[in-house]
Amino acid sequence: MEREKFEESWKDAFSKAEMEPSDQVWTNIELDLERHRGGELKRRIFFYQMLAAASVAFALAVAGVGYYQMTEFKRGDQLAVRTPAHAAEQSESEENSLRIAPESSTADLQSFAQQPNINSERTGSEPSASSLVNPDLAIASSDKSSASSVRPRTSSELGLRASDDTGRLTRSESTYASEGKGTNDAAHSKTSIAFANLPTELDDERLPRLTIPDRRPELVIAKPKEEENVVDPVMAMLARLEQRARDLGEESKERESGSHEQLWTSIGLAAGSFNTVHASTANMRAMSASAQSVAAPIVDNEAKASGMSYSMGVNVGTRIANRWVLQGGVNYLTQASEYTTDNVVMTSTGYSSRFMAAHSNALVGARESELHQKIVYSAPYTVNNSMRYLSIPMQAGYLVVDKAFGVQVNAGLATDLFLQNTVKGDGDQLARTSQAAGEDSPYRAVNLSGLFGTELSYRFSDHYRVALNPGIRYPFNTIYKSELGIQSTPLTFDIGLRFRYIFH
Amino acid sequence: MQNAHTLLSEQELIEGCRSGDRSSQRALYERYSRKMLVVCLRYSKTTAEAEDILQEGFVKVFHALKDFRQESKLETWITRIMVNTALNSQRKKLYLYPMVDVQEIDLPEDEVSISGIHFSQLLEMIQSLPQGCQVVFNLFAIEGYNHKEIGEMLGISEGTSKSQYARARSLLQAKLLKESSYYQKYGEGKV
Repeated sequence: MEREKFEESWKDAFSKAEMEPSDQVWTNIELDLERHRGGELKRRIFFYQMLAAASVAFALAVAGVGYYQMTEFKRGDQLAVRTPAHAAEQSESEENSLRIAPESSTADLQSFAQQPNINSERTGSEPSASSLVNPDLAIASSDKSSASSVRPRTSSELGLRASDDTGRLTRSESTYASEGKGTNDAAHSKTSIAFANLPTELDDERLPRLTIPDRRPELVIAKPKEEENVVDPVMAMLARLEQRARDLGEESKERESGSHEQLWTSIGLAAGSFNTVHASTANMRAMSASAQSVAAPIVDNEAKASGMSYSMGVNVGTRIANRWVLQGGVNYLTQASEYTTDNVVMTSTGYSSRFMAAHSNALVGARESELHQKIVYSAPYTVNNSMRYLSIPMQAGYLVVDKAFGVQVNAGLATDLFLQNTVKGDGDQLARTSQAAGEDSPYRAVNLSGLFGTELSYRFSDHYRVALNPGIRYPFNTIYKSELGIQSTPLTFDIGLRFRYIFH
Repeated sequence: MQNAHTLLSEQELIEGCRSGDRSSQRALYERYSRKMLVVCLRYSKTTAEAEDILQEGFVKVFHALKDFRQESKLETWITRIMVNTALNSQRKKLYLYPMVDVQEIDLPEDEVSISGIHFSQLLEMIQSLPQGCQVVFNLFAIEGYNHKEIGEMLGISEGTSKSQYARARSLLQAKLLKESSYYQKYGEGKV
């Protein structure tokens, strides 16, 4: 009981006890909280960097798929529609041609209906009605020497074998050739376009040998012989009208999809971070070894610092080819970095002294004796260095996807004009200093940077498009003047948001 | 501004701190830092050490406040965080100077009362105790944990906790006796 009383008395003695902590405690707590918030911001930036990297990878993948599809499309074009002259030559070569009378399908006929038109346009002559009505089709081998021959028994069997052996031909791609000696009966066709000259029966003697080439065969539409043509002006007119309607439909679809944007302007802003991937003060010239030993640690911190990058600006773009665009503009770019140092720079004027955060601005052109006087050791503190540029980018872009939703890959150059840098130390004791471009500045007045990025955009009205631009920027030269021998090339990774106004 | 914050309810302060509002955090600190410094001082030897614990403890409070479910009073919750932070900072020392059982100590027959002694003097007495005794005394006598709980918290046996406490109490009583004889001789002028 007595024990409990003893303990309770101690507890009571401290229950209301209070003591004032020093002001330093709250300052340190605040710093800790800020540091934590900075860490969170860094993690968030890292997330956005990863997002930007993912979108770049996505755009590259889309570009790759697009390129693959384009090359495939070109290969498809190699199944060229031959001119009648070629077809005639080919038809003379009985060994390499196949003539089959197909049970024509609607799809086959429709796909073939356009081919004579294309032929006639390429040869510069008006398409004849007969070419529309009576296509003469043949499979021709492009490599006779490597061809193997097969003599199938029936037309359907032929079609299947051709398909199987080439491995690529589908039924619609299979080439059928009309014999040209059968009965001409347009009424047999189920489509609006007549398919005539259908043979009534086939036998081994009349069937030519089917040549299956090792390589993919070319599709040949041979112009029928004059005497076999059956001119049906009404059907020809209908086919032309159908073709025209189809062309108009495609044009309007293209217009709707936004592929006719020719000239636009955009305003935008971007935020990201930069890391100095290559920084060195090992070759600092114009300084004695002693002076270098004093200045190098200060410059080293500064040159290796990483931080945040912000930019805003206006851009103009124009289409220079079907899928190529050219974009340029003017951007105001700020790169803010932080680093820790344990030096301050002292400048004395008369009897008063001024202290500034340690920075290369104060060291350029200073003699060794001055350096030793200028630099004073201090407790570690943080220096905020803010660099400002006027950047003039010029980029070429390739439209991977040119629809309402657009994907564009951009690459180009930016001319960065150094405007000013501002250096500020933590706390109020250190003076804030600024340095513009000039002889007494350690920074290059003009530098070139490489730009690469993607643009994911969405057209939300006739005249407006919004775009997200993840990209990287890397200067070709160190940002410091070359005579100083300080290497620092910050790699910037940012994400921009642009609003585009489309003039026409 | 700070005056306005002192009028804020505990709930408003919590909400403000949770949203990261710096002035709310400052107000919470202002409200509890003086009491908490005394808690930290009880577990440390110097004011600087106590302020380090206080700083670390408040940073933890601000980060952990989003998880505070208000099942206890805010002050109790903050005190617990301060005690845990103090124990963590003491653990290394306790590891270097492990607590061992001490011989049975004969307690003085007469309990010496602490009434009338200013808490700062009591604090000095606690701070003058050996490391292990100081921690166990605080946990048992002031925080109200039992020896089993203390054993689990510090990784020592219940017996060790008891013996450390007995030693702490003996040492404190000796100090109190000394103080009381001083008062009898010179009055309360010292306090």
